[in-house]
Amino acid sequence: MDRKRDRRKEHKTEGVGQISGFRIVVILLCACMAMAVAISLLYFRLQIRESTKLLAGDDGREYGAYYVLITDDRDTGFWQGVLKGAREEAEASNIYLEQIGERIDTDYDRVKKMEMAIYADVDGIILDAADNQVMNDLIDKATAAGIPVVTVRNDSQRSSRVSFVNISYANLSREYAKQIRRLVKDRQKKGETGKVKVCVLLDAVNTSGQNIVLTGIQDQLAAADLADQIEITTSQIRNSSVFSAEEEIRDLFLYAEDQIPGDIILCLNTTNTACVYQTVLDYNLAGQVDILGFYENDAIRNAIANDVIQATITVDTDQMGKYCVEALTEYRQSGYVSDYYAVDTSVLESKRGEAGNE
Amino acid sequence: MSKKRSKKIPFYRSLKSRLMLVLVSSVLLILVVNVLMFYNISRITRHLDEIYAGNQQLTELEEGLELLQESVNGYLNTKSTDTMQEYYICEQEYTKMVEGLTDKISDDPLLLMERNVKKLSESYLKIANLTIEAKRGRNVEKYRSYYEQSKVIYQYLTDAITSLNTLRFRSNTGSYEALSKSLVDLEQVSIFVFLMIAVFDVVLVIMVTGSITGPLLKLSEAANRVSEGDLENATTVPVSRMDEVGVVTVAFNQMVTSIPEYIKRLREGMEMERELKEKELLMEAHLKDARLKYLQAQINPHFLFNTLNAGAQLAMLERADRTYDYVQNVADFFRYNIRKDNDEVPLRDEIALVDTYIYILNVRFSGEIHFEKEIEEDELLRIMVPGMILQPIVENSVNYGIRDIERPGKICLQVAKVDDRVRISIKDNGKGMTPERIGEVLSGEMSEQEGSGNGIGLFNVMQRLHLYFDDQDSFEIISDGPDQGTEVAISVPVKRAMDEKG
Repeated sequence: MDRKRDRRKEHKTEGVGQISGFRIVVILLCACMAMAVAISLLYFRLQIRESTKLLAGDDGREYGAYYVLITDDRDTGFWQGVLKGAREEAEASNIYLEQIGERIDTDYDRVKKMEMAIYADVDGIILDAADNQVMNDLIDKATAAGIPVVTVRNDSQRSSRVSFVNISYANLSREYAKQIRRLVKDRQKKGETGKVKVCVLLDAVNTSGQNIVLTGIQDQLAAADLADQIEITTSQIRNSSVFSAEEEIRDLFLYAEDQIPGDIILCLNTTNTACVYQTVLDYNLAGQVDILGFYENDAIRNAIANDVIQATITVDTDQMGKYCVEALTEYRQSGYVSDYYAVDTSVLESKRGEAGNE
Repeated sequence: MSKKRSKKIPFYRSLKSRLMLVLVSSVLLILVVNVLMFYNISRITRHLDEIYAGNQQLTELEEGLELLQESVNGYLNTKSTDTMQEYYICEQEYTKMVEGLTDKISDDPLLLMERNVKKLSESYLKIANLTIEAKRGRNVEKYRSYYEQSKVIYQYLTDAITSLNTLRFRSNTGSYEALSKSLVDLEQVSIFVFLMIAVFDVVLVIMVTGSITGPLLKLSEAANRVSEGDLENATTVPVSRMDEVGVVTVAFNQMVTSIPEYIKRLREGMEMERELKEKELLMEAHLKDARLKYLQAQINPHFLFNTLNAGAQLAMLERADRTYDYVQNVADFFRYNIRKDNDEVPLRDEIALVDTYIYILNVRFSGEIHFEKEIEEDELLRIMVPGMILQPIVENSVNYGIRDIERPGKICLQVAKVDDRVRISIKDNGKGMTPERIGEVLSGEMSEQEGSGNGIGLFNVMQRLHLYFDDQDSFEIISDGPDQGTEVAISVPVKRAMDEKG
């Protein structure tokens, strides 16, 4: 009898053990389920928040003023450099700076961009100007609308622009003359006789300052008693329509005597430098034609490394951009500003050039 | 143990409330999740609607601008009041739309473009207004110049709005894709969550039904064991939860523990009843035996009776009063003996029978027997005693005590209350008894041989008294020895005797 009872007891406790085990499993299962549900809901909510944020958009930083930079060849390294320097300076003064119309699908020229900036009531304009009446009128209109204009690189001298930021023409002339002198000497050392032909490629549109540079070079060469050994010619390169510079430079080579427009070709802008370099390579004239370039980019640096371009004058574009913003801000604050800002230049020479100097 | 168990039992919660709780909580859970899902879906849908609201706004702005430019053209063409009115309506609407645009300078390209659109629009509105004013003032040169300007700004504005619209569309496409992905995710999350809830509900239902049917099953198993009569092994069922089943289980447990007790008590009661019945039967048997013995001793009591009555009437006619009394007493004596209700009689009746018997004997033996009665209280005569107990004792005293003695025989009847008992004593001054003989009489050894007298022996009386009062001390024989007389005493409890009577 007792044994029977014991067996029953055992059975009962076994049952209780099973029940509690089952309960624990069920509770664990429920907890896992609740956790999974909570996690998936949380994940989902995060995703919604993320997309809502995306939808609402980031309001971004708010600025106290709005300046624009207007230039035609905005994608070149030179102007990108200027833009970068200007932006850094503007940013520090809580000013937003952009190239106006850069996000508009239509590609406007400087004149239209200028008009747009005036109608958009910006706080300041940094303009790669041109010395013509249309530009002068637009600058005057902007000034009349209370928008100060600082010209950079190319000036509109007869307009009401508040300041002009550029490379020092005297420096530029000096540097170019120095490079020409070195190249002439090189040629003479090689035993070449006769006059060295220097072809200066002028911009047919942005003429401001070119003449000063050209005159400066001539003066410098004359002072060095090299005027009789050098023959300086000029060629107008029209950069008015797209890709026209490259066409004109090719034509220049094609129609020149021996397909060499000059022993030394001096370029006063980046596009011309790149085009001349490419043409020299194409016509296999490296070694016969020396190139003096303006400013630098990857291609130009490569060419200098390969001794195709002998030297290039680089500009401190950061400084240039910075001066532009400084000039505008100073004018807005005080109503007065220095009429001219000179930006530092430096020379980037090929190894041959460097060796020559030594 | 039971204390421990009762501590573990939780507070009472009915099955109904538990089922309701489960049902309500599961419904609530589903409801909450549904509401959550619907809320999220509607939120996404709303966002999806909002995505292209900006594009729509810009398109409306462009349309408004176009209408405004047309109205300017219209007025310049016709200079009519209608076109003037149209211009003002268009201008107001466009101004209102432009007011909604931001004028913050931000590095966010969309916002900056919006700011430029706003400023360009303001310039356009200003120039358009100047154009209209110049036209009204008939200043041909000026209005033409303004009109040209307005056309230029209109072009810039259209380009800017279109570009902004495209840019916004591109940016919105990203949001749209993210939201569409969210919608797909929501679908998957919903399916997952609903599946989880379904599983949870099923588990809940299994648990709850298990918790209800589990104790019921245990209870039914225990009940089956009890119904099969296995009360010995019927253990109490553990109460896991205090609901209806718990209440029934507690009641069942109480029943299981109390049933053996009831059975024990019932068994004892039955035993007692059986003993009582046995006693009753035995008494009846003894009485019958007494009567039988008496009847065997008589020829025919009814005949004798009738004969005696006839004798009594004859004596009365002959005016023989003593004879009449004698015959009447004899008749009374016999009548008492054949009474049917002799099981229980008042003591008074028994003493009356002794009186009659002594009267008859004294007539027979010429008044040799001196009979005395000492009754303490008349009340004592009301107690109930078994019938035919005193006369046999008196007869015994006459036959074996005082019959053969020289001196006058005396029989004394005493009724007295001693403590809570009534002592009825019949004492003679006869031959007396040795203790051995008393022992023989009390043990019943004498009863068979001593069948004399009217046939009812002392042992019979003694047995009946024992059975009647369930008391061994109710009967005693006292004698100091030969020639010292004998006393037979019956001692009955007053309460018992009165109760029986009552």
